[in-house]
This record gives sequence, structure tokens and C-alpha cells, in this order.
Amino acid sequence: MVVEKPLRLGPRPDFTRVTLFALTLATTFLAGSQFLQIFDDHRAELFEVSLLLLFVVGFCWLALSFWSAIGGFLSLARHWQWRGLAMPAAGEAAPPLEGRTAILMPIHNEDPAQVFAGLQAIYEGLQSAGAIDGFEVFIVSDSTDPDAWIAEEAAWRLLCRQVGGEGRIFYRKRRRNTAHKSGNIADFCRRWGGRYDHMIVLDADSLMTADALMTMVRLMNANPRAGLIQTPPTIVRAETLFGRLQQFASRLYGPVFTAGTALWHQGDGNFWGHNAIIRTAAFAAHCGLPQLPGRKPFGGHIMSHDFVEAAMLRRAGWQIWMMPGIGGSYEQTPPTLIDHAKRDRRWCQGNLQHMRVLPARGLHPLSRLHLFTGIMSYLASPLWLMFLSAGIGFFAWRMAHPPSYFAPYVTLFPTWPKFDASVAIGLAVLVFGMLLMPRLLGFVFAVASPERRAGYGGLGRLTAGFFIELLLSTLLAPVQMLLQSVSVATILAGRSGGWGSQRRDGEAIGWAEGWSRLGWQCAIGIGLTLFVARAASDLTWWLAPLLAGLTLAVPLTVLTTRERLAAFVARLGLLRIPEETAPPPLLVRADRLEATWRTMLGTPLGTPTGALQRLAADPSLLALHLAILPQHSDWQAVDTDVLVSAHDKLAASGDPALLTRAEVTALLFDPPFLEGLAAGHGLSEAARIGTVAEQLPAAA
Amino acid sequence: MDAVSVMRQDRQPAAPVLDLLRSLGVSDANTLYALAARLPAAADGVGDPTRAARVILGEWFARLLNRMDLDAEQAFLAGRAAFVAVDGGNRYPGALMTEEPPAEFCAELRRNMPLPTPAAAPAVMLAQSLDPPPLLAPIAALFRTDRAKGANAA
Repeated sequence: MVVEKPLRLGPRPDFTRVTLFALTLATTFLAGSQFLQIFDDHRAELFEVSLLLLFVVGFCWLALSFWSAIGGFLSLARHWQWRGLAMPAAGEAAPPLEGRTAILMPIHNEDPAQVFAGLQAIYEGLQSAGAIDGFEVFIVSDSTDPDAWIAEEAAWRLLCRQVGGEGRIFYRKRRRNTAHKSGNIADFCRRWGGRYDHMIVLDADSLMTADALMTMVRLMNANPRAGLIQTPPTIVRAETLFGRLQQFASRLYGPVFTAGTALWHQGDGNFWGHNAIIRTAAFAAHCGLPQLPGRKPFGGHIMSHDFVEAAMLRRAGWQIWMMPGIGGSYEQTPPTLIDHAKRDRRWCQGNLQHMRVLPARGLHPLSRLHLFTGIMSYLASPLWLMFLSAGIGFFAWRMAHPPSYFAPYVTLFPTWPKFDASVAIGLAVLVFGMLLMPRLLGFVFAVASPERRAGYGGLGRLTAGFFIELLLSTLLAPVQMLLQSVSVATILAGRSGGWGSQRRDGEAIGWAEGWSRLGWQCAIGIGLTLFVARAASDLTWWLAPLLAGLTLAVPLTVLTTRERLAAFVARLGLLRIPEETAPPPLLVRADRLEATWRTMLGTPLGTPTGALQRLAADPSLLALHLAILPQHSDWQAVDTDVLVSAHDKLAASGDPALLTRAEVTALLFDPPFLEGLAAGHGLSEAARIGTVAEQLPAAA
Repeated sequence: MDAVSVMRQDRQPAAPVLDLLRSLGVSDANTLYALAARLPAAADGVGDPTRAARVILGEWFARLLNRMDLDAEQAFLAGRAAFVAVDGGNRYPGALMTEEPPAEFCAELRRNMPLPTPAAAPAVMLAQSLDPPPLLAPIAALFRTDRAKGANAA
């Protein structure tokens, strides 16, 4: 067991902020002035200025992250506690849980086995801790896949029976998933928000221990000005090599980064969308999101709602805290680079949309910085890409055009175009060093304690894992840079992305899919390697990580999705995290339950017509579906054309396979049809009995 | 002699009423007609026997489930779900609409009553403004993607 030293008060937030920004600006100024020393070529002054600007912007962001990590390391090493946040007593001296808390699980076409196994593990944890009376679980579904919807209803009923959760575990589905997750949560607030003092918002793959949940409630009770407390979730249960890399990096380096941001954010923090507790009344009063004027991608519903909701809460005077010390908060990561990129694409669009929110009236300066940081986290990629492209191009141009010592104007003295390689090398080392340092600090923090070291499998495995992660993340970085740059470019060009559900399992990417999605990166990598070798050969070694990463984009992507490779790495004890060395009971229970749930729920998702057949074959589920239908929001809003078409097709053929997903959904919202089915009529007969003409007046 | 053959011609239940009883999981024809006899028919001057049957069943379920706060339709839907879940159509068909149903049946029914959501407890959540101050409005407008279209339309 890790024996932590007692907490002590950390520095004041204004001091840490001034120090952080001063150090960031000073480092950027020094680096920028050094950058100016590299070139002096009268033939390309404009080019040099552009290069300098790109460098300064990119470097400034790097410096902020670097100094924040240094602060995080100090904070961890010295066990700093935040000022202005009262810490409730722990253990037996802990105050009783006051108020009622909703554990909110928004889902959208997720794997019900995983979701409900997780919820059961969480619920059982609260029961064992004797704390269940203070909590209720609310599954708020936005599923558009009819099969997922019916599976959720079946799973909800099973979960209630398994844990005796009737009247404490609730389920509601929206007909239209307006405004996605934020709209889903807003719908919950509008209908039941008055019932709950707090809501703990989870993600479909979230897991939280009872201790963590209770601590969050106690923190809210002890800090009446706190509007939101965010826990940094630990990534767990990765099954692919890509997932394990993310998991290892997040576990090893995450504490330094989150402690750093918590140190200077303090009560002006941010919301990450899940694994956080929110004061419901404050949220309802101040976080109603408007539709942004204009069309997508910048107009419409706010996609990345969490940052904006945090900013609105803060604007209303509520504090937002990040609490790295709570622990027991878990999530999963996308299993492959492709899935990661898809999620990134959505986040990118959401974050770029924040350009519209950035100048909003009355926001706290730090909230604006959070929004700006979110924007920059995606703009940084095209900026570095432009910088690299310009740098390589400039270097190649210089090699192709020998210096002319005489300017095109009359002068007595020759000009000496300058290129100071030693300064350039020094700056490159500085940049790599600043990129590496937060990782090193995370590594040092882990190594410094025998217990933490053992959690990673010992010093040898930890060190090996560190280098493997460093190597692979270095190679994957340029691939992600290009993907993000493409995302930014397409979004800025006005193309909106979708909001599909996220694949969370470890299904491998095949070679064909890999080539079709990332073959262009390999082509760029090979072309660039040839170009650099020919036109700027001095840069070859410096650019080796970039060139190798791009050239190997497809093999890297495909091989890092192979579960066997991941299992082999795990057998060697590499990339291990403490949660694997000593798995928390919650994770062990969730894993076991997931297998059981998969058996109980039977057929996998993906066949929308299966929903109708499932209902027809299970009268009990059908009666349940009819009983809870009126509880769903907007359930009476019938899409007339779709419903008519569904009835016609089904009455004529009786074959649900001919129906579209929208038609199946319309029928699942159609009580007359479902009553016919419940009376034992077949699909075709039920569609004929419950005629559309009868239904529409009732549905209107 | 069974319930079907003794039923007066003008008291024959409408097909939708039988469907309603079937949706409770009752499949035996005799039981169906016996139960239908406890419900009002067109001959009783009821305009919509199915609607009336739902109300009667709903009120009965509400009493049994101790959920008089529910309206008849809600109680019918919840009660039916519980009744089907306990296989009431086969195990307790005669208990339907009786004054004194078996205690274990009532207990089982209450345990299986679905409660998908709690009573509404609304909170007011209005859309808040994210408009920029007037001085910054032109900058924010730069990111309005409908500007060009709007200008053309104008």
C-alpha cells in the first residue's frame, strides 16, 4: 500500500499563474530570439519572418505545457493541497452523505453488455459501502439503432432484477437526439433536475469506485461554492497495442500533467465531459446551451459542450475544480489509431467551434484560456506542419541556390547570408527536450517510490515500457499531426463531421483498411524521404522520426491493433500499469460481469430488424417496452411519412428486413402497431390492424 | 359448457377487447371469454369497449399496485408489463379483475412493476447567451459560415 505524506497548502493561484505565464513568455522570447540568429538571408526575409511567427506560436504552446508539467511535478512531490477547497475528513471520520445524487449514464448505440456490466459493478460497490441510499442511477439513452434501444430496455430490466434496483435505477430514451450529449443531459435536467442535488456524469465506458463517488459528494457538500468537481480518469482495460500505449502514457505521465493544470487552474478549472460531479441546480440555471447562429461547422449545436458549460458555470460565480487525488475514476481509450482519429475529428470540430464562443460576454479569463487551449490543441498540428514544410522547403532552396554576396542594390560591402547550424541544433535539442521533459518527470515520479515502481512491473519493465512508448509515440506523432491537419483543413473549409458512436472494443484493423485510410501518408513519407535525401540531405537524421513515422504509417496502424501482439507485450510485463499489477476490485468485477452480460443479452448489435423480431418473440419485453414508451421524451412525435411507409412495407411482405432503420424506429414508437404485436398477431398482421389512418390522430 | 358457448350473442366481445386480453398473456379461449364477460361490451351502451376495458383494467392494476397516483392508462401499461413478466396469463388468469386476488400474486406483481423514471421534478434550464460584447461582434461574425449565403440572399 502506498503511504502518502500529509498534504500541505500549495502556493496561491495568482502566484502560480503569474509565474507560469512569465516563464512561458520568457522561454518563448529566448527561443524566438535564438531563432532569429539562425538565418540572415536578404533573399528570403519575408520567409524568415513567417517561419519565426510559426515557430513562436508553436513554441509558446509547448512552453506552457512544459512549465505546467514542472509545476505538476513539484505539486506531486510536495503534496500540495489546493487553497480554497475544504477537504472533508476521510475514513471513519467522514461526514454522512447529504442530498441525493444522480449517476447519469448518457449512451448512444453503445454495447449494452459493457455499459450495464459497468453500472452493475458501480451499483454493487455503493451497496457494499452502505451508501446506495444517497444515489440513483439514470440511464439516458440517445440510441438511434433500434436494436441497441431494445437491448437497453432488456438490460435495464435485468439490471434492476440483478441488484434489486427497482425504483432506484431509471431508464429514459429520447426519440430525437437533439444537441447530442449536451441535449441529452439538458433533457434530464429539465425533467428531473429538481430531484437531485448533484449529478455525476459518466461516459459509456466510465467506471468509478464507491469511494470516489462518495468523496465527490462530500467534497460538494463541504464546498458550497463548488459547481463542478472533475476527476482525471485513468485509462484502463486496453486490449490492443495502440490502446496499451495510450493507457501506459496516460497512467505514467498523466499525473504530472493533471497535477500541473490543477495547480494553476484551481477553482477556475475545466470540465472534461464525464467522471465529474455537478451541482444540478447551478448547472440547470446557467448551462443552457444556445444554438450558435450560422451553419455547421461553426454554427448549430455546440458539439464540445463540456468546456463551454464549465465556462458558463464559472461565469455565474461557481467554482470548477480538478481533483487529481480522488482516484478510483476510470475510462477506456479508442482501440486503434483510426478510431482515435475519428474521435479526434469530432473533438476537433467541437473545439474549433469554440472560436465562436471565445469572445462571449462575461467569461472568466481562464475559461477563455481553456477554450483557446482546446482550439490550439488542434491548430498546433497544422502550425507545426507548416513550420516543418516551410523549414524543409527553405533548406532545400538554400542548397539549390548558392548565396549571392551582393544585394540587388548599390552597396560597398558584400552581404553574407548566414545560417548558424549550431543555434539551429541547439534549438532543436531544446524543443525535443521540452517535449521529453514532462515524460521524464512522470517517469521519475513513478521511479521515486518503490510501491509505484512495483505497480509498473519494477524498474526494468518500467524503463523498457518508457522507451517503447517513447519510440512508438514518436513515430505515431507525425501520423496524428497529418490527420489532425486534414481535420482542421476540412472543418475550416466548412465540412461538418458526423457524431457516430465510438468503437470501444479491440477489433483489429486489416491491411486493406489500413492502406485505404493511411496509404496516402506512406506515399508522402516515401516522397518526402526521397526529396530530403536529394535536396536537403543535411536534415535527414533530424527528420528521421518524421520520415519514418509517415513511411510506416500503415504498418504501425495495423500492427498496433493486433490483440495478439498486445497480449505478447503484456505477457512480458511491458507497458504494464498499476491497475494491471493489482487490479482494483471494481475493474475485476466489471470484467467478470461483462462476460455474464454478454451471455445474458445474447445477440450482438447490428441488425436493426432484430429489434422487431426480439419484441415479437418476447411478450414480456414487449409489454415492458409499451409501458415505458410514454416516459420517453417526444415519444408522440411521429414521422408520418416514415410510419406510413413502414406499415405499407410490413403489411405487404411481413419481412422486417425490408425496412430501413428509421422505419423500424418509427414502428417501435408506434403504440397501435405494438399493441397488435402484443395481442399475438404477426408483424404483417399487426401492421395491417394498427392502420396508419387510425394512428395519426392519436399521435398528433 | 364453456364460457364461449354460453355468452349471449349481443355480449360477444369485440375483437380488439380479446386482443387486449391476449396482450396480457391470456391464450386460453375459455379464459379469454370469461374475462371478457367481466368487461363492458357494446351492448352495455359503451361507445368504445376497448378504451373502457383499458380503464377498468388500469384502475384495477392501480389499486393492486398501490399506485393510485397513476392515471388509468399508465397503470394499465405498468400493470400489464408486471402481469406478463410474472406469466400471469398462465399462472393467475382467474385473478384478473377480482376483488381479492391472491396475496402472493399481488406481491409478485408489485415487485415486477416497471418504474422507468421517477416522478417529474423539473428544473428550469433556459438557453444562456454566448453573444460577444458589441465591440467584438464583428470578429465573432468572421466565423459565421452563413454570411456569404445570407448576403447573397439579401
